[in-house]
Amino acid sequence: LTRRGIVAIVSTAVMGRSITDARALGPGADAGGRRPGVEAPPEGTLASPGSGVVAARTLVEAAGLVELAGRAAVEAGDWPDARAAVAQASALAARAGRLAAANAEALARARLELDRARRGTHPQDLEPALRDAAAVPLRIAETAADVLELASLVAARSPADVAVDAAAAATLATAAARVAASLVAVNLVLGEDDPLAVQARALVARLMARAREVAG
Amino acid sequence: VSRLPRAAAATAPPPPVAAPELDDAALVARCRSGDEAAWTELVRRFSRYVLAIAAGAYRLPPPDAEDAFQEVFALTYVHLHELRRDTAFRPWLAQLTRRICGQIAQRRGQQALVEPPSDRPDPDDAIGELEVALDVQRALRRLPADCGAVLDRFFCQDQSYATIGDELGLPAGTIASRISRCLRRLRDVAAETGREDRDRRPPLER
Repeated sequence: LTRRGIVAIVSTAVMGRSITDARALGPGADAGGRRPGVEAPPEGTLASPGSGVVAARTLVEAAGLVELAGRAAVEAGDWPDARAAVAQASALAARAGRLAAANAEALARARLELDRARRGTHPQDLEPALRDAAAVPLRIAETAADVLELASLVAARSPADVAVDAAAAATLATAAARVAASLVAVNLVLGEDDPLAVQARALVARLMARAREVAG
Repeated sequence: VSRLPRAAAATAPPPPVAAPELDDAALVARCRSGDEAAWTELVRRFSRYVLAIAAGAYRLPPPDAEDAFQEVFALTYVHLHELRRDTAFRPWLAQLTRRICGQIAQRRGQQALVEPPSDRPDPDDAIGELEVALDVQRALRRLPADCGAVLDRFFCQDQSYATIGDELGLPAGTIASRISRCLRRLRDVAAETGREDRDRRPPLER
C-alpha cells in the first residue's frame, strides 16, 4: 500500500463512522447524527436537489479525479497526451456542472407543469416539460460514459499512486450513469417504449459492458 | 459597409482570393487594397470579437452592443488606411471597440466601467480571455479539417465521444485519444503561429 492509499482508507473509515454513528465523533455532532457545518434543510424545502442533480455533481467530482491523475501524469512526464487528457477532464467537469443546473431547472419545470395539469390548466405544456426532464438525464448518462472512457485511459497511463483515483472516477461514473439512465424512463412517464427510454437502456448496456472491461 | 475605403479607391482591386484562408495581416492588406470579399471576411471574422467586447466585457444591452458593432466597423472602414502595420489590426480594433463602448455607456448614462463594480469582471481580463480565444480560433483554422471537427464537436458543441464517433464514422473508443492527438497538433500550430507573429514584428517590439 502507498501512503496515499493508507490515507484514503483511513479517511473512508472515519467517514463511515460519521455516517453510522456520528455521536462517536464527539460533542460537535447533534442528536440527529449531523456533523458541525452540515445544516438541516429549512422546513418545507427538499433535503436534496434530486438524484439527477446528484448524479451530475458526482460526475463533476469524478472528472476532477481524472484531472488530478492526469496532472500527476503531466508531472511524471512520460505520457505525451497527459495535458490533453487533463483538458478533456476539465471540459467534462464543466459540462457536468452545466447539466446539474439544467437538470434542476428541467425538474422544477416538470413539477410545475404536473401540478398545473392536475388542476386542469395548460395540459399541453406537460409533455414537453416531461420530455426535457427526461432528456437532461440522458445527457448526464452520456457524459458519464465519457468520464468512464477517459478515466480508464488515464488510469492506465498515470502514476500508480493516482491511478487509484482515476479508477475511482470510473466507478463513480458508472454509478452516475445508471442513476441518470433510470431517471429517463421515470421522468418520461410516457412508457418504456419511448425512444429516449430505449436510447438510455442501450447506453447503460454499453456502459456496463465497458465498465466490466475496465474493471477486468 | 458598402463602399471601398478612401485609401483604396484610387487603385484597381486585385483579383479576389479565398479570404478565409488568409491570416489576419494578409486579410487586412487585402482590405486596404480594396478587395470587397476580404472586407466581408474581415467583418465575419471579427464580428463575434467586437460583440463579445461590447456585450461581455462592457455589459452593454443588446441594442447598444449592436450600435457599437455598427459604429466600430464603420470607423474601421473609414480609418483602416491609417493603421501603420497590418499585423497590429487586432489590438487596434480592440482599442477602437473599447472607445466606442465607453462612449455608448456614457451616452446611455451608465457607468463607463473605468472603475467596474467588484461583482463584474474587469474588461481588461475579459478582453484578455477573448484574445486567447481568438488565438485558439486562428490555430484551429490551420489544423487539418478532421482534427478541427473533432475538437469543435467535443469542446464547443458538448458532443459525447459516442456521438462524435457515430457522426464521423469513427470507433467511439478511439475518440478520446484522437482528441488528445489533435490538441497536441493545435498546441504545435499555435506555437508556430506565435513564432511567425514575433518574426513579423519590427525588432524593437520583440
